[in-house]
Amino acid sequence: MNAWLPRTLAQWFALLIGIAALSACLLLGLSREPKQALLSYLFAFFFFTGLSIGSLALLMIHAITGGAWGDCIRPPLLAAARLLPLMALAVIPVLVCMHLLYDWSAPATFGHHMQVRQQTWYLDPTFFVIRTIMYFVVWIGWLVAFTRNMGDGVRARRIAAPGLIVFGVTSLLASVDWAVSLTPHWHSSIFGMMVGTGWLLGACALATAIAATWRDREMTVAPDVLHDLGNLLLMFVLAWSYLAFVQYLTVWIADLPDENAWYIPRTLTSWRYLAWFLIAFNFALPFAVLLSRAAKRHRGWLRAIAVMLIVASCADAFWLIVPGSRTGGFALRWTDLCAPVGIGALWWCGWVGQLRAARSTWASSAAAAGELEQSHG
Amino acid sequence: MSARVHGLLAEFAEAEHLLAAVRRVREEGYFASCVEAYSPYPVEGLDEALDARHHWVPFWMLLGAIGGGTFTYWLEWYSAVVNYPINVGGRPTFSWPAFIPPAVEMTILWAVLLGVGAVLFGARLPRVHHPLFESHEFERATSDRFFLLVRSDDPRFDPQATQRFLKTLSPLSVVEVAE
Repeated sequence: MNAWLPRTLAQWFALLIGIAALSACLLLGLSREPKQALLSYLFAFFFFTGLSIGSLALLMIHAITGGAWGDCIRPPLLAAARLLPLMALAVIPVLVCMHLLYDWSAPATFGHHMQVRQQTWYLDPTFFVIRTIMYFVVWIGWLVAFTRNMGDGVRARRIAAPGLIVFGVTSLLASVDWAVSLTPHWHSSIFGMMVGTGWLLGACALATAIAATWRDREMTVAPDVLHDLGNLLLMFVLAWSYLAFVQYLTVWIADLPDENAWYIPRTLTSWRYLAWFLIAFNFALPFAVLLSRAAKRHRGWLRAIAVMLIVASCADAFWLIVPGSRTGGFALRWTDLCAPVGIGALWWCGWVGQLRAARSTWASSAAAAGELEQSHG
Repeated sequence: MSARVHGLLAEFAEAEHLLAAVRRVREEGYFASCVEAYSPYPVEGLDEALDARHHWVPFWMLLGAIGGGTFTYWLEWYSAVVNYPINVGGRPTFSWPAFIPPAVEMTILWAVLLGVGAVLFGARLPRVHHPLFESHEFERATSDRFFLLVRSDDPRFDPQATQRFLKTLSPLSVVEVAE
């Protein structure tokens, strides 16, 4: 049975909404305000790609470390990671309309800046397209190799260990290509790691929200495992906050024109309230709640925090992509809603199908393991 | 009259046996505050069986964290803004982002200091000698054996009856520990 085909009414509905919202965003939006529409699209693409890659990386981390936490969130992670081919298709509009989005791809109107002229060998449209294709080839290749060998612990580890190194390098390069090159004369060595951690955080939050929701007989997650998931979320929240803060601190303290270009529209205009939102909901509140042992072991609390972190991760993607091209201050376009709803609905449609498939294989393998244990017992 | 008894020490080979024994002893009506368990590594569920869920260590650590962080941040503000303001490259005297790392470090330091203090205080340490050290069997508590101690200050404690009861829990040995 093909997990890609929609089977429930909700999936067909999501598929319809997704196609409608995406065509509205791309057709209507591109004809009216092309750059802003594409910016909304890039932010939505960035967020959902991050969920998929973060899920793949978490799966590989678990293949190396083991532990009950990873067994119970494997179905949602696997389902999200398997959507990478969908995200590879979703990148096409960005590549086709690159000249609208990235100033450096139209050198005629650009290139007065000394440093930017030196960047042209790297920020070259053809090279950019090749790199983006390479990222997806590498990610999907690793996904296929890893999921095929997941049952064999040793081989899965041998694929996962270099896979995590590749994840580190590619998430750095991809985030620089897609997000930082919107402000080409800006650079930050922390950026890639910060984005990679944010992707892991989003993926972990999504999987935890699902794990804390399941209540049926064979899938209910024990409080001890919920506790582990809560601690993992706390760790990702702290890691992301640390990297995001250190990047800001070093830029703030040096206060050099090349380094603060990224922060000027983000912190000196009303976009700063988005920063406060991120500080509150991607750091302070989850941190305070996740300190509590009781909250981490409580299904409802953990799910609430996880859902909040998913929303905050989405806001983080928005923060990374959009404000630099709306320098006037906080401003929303209708495409900002359309694009994430469109990509999100398609992503959800595929994810639910993959989740159903992953759950059934997971349940049957768990049952087989249980029988094995009993027969040896 | 024989020497006063500190308690009875039962020795087990497995963590599960210790856990089961603790549960049986508690069911028998011995007070949790008079029953002690010793193991070479943390045994899951043992704290619950001993009613040791609630302790003061997290409270003191939180207090240390909030107190240490707030005081350090205030100290930085006071010294840089009020007491001795200096112009550093035109930056504001209240350089709030730069004040955060030291405050975070002191948050962690004071949480750890008060946490260690609370553990020592709660465990009545430091202490140079303990009646259990007289028992030769007990030396293996830090390597591969699990011990259950019922102290003589429990109202249900009776040297003979308690010893008989502990022997029903199939321990490797039950020994009397002198005061």
